[in-house]
Amino acid sequence: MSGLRVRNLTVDIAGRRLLDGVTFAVARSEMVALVGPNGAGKTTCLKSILGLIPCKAEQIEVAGRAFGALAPRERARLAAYLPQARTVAWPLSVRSVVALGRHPHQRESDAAEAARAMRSLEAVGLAGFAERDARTLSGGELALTLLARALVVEAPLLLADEPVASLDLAHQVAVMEHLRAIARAGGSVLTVLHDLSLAARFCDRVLLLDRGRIVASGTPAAVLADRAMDAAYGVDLARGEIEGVPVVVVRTGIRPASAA
Amino acid sequence: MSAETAACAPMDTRHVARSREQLAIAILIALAVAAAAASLIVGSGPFAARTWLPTLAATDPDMARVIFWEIRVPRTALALLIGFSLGLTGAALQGFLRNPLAEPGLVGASSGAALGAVLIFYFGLLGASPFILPLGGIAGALLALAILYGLAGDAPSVTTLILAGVALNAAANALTSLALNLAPNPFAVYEILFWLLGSVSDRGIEHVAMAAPFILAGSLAILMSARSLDPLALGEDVAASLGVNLKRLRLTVIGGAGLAVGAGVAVSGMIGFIGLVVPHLVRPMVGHRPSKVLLPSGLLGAALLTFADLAVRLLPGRELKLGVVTALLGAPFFLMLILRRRRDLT
Repeated sequence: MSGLRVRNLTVDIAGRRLLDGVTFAVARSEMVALVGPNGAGKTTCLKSILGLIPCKAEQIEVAGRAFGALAPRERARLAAYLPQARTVAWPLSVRSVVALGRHPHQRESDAAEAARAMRSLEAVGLAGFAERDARTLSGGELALTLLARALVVEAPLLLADEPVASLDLAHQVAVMEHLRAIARAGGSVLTVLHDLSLAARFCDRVLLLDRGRIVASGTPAAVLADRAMDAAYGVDLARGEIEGVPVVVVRTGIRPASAA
Repeated sequence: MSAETAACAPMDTRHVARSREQLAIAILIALAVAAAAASLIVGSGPFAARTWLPTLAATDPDMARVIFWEIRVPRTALALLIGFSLGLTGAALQGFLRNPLAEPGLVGASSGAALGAVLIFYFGLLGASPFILPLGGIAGALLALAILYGLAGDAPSVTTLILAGVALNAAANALTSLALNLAPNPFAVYEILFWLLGSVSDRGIEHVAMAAPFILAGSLAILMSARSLDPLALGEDVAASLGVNLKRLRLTVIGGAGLAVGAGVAVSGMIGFIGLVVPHLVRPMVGHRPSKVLLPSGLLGAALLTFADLAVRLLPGRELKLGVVTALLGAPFFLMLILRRRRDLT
């Protein structure tokens, strides 16, 4: 049984086709990176799977269930979402921010909810921050707090949109390791990434999205070696390998993206 | 009686209250009950400078009965109802728009409601049905809130919210002025102007009856959607991904606020700042989770407005309008809030 199965996902907004027949699957215990240049449709892909923007698809299946037919709360229990924007509107404690992730579940006692939130915070190493005002956290701490918020949903699928954007190296690795731990524990993770070396280092597979279509997919080594990368990003890439991990380095930005 | 209520309530609460929130609610209920009791037995009257009801009951029981049932009860009930609705909608709008400066008055809902009610006066529709006045107010408030949401969108910045509110207030006030300007009868103008200042005095039980169903329905709709406001703190996308039905939430919050504020303003005129001030006073007691702020804000709004109305009665000299007093007290609070949030505004 796969965690996520998407067939022929198409999104049209204001007469523009943002996604065009996207088809892929993420298995259980698998972590897949969705990469591609700005405007390729990565965020649109995550949001349309979640039903946040209107789309057409032959199939969107999460944990073996037709996602679109489910009630909002049922969906919410199956797919957790970690968006790129890290906003907290009120000076809430870190623990109560994390506890918001329990919203789709049957209501528990405040104590039980707090205990779950604490376990989730412990998992990301922020147990000591539980009572801190979330708006006073550093960028990295806030990112981990919001990751804990997504973890506490306990959904079989996690969709993360650039979870490491604007984080320092240590926090990038911390976030990626947590995501991989979710996958290793039987979850399915689909994450948008800009850092191709992180994708190669942590993900089982990579999907390359370009102008609304998946133009390459497979193991990190295979996708990073694919010439479609150069075309999609509009750069000339040099390829190599460090300690068994494939890496790409921009040689030049000679070729402008072909005008579409 | 009021002293008694105030003294014994905290003792009762000790048994029930297990959390800070329950304790706060119990204290606020006690406060509202105390305010209501004081409002029922103390007042100003044309006969005595201070009409203390028990004294009057001893000398002139018939007069005391009339004053109690026809003056004090409606006045107290309206102060409680309207205070509750203003506190509650203020808290709900702040949670919904994720903005601590949202308030029915500032965002234009109150002046929209006033315009709706003035148009009912102006076109002489008052006799058509006892509910026509609150319906006019509700229509005005709903229109203003719908335009606000359309203009500002979800999670507006402080600047956008205030500007949209300024624009809506300006438009509603201009149209209200136009109606006053064109009114054929100067007495009607005087009456409307006085009504606009905001008051719960000289209202009968029929005013309570026409406003209460809408205020209660609107408040109930808001309270029932309370829990959905919490995940909104992380943005609309996260809230939706957590199972919040955003369409329904918009409908209940905007619709509920329109019902409650519209019906309240139609009966009392404009009473500002309660909705802005009260949630800020409540948060130190119950924390910042939007759902936890709602009911305590309603209760504190009810207590505050009833006490303010009591103060209006007891102040020497000509009786001030309630709306004038809340504005006089609320405006400095608003300025203070801006001062405190200045870094966010720049």
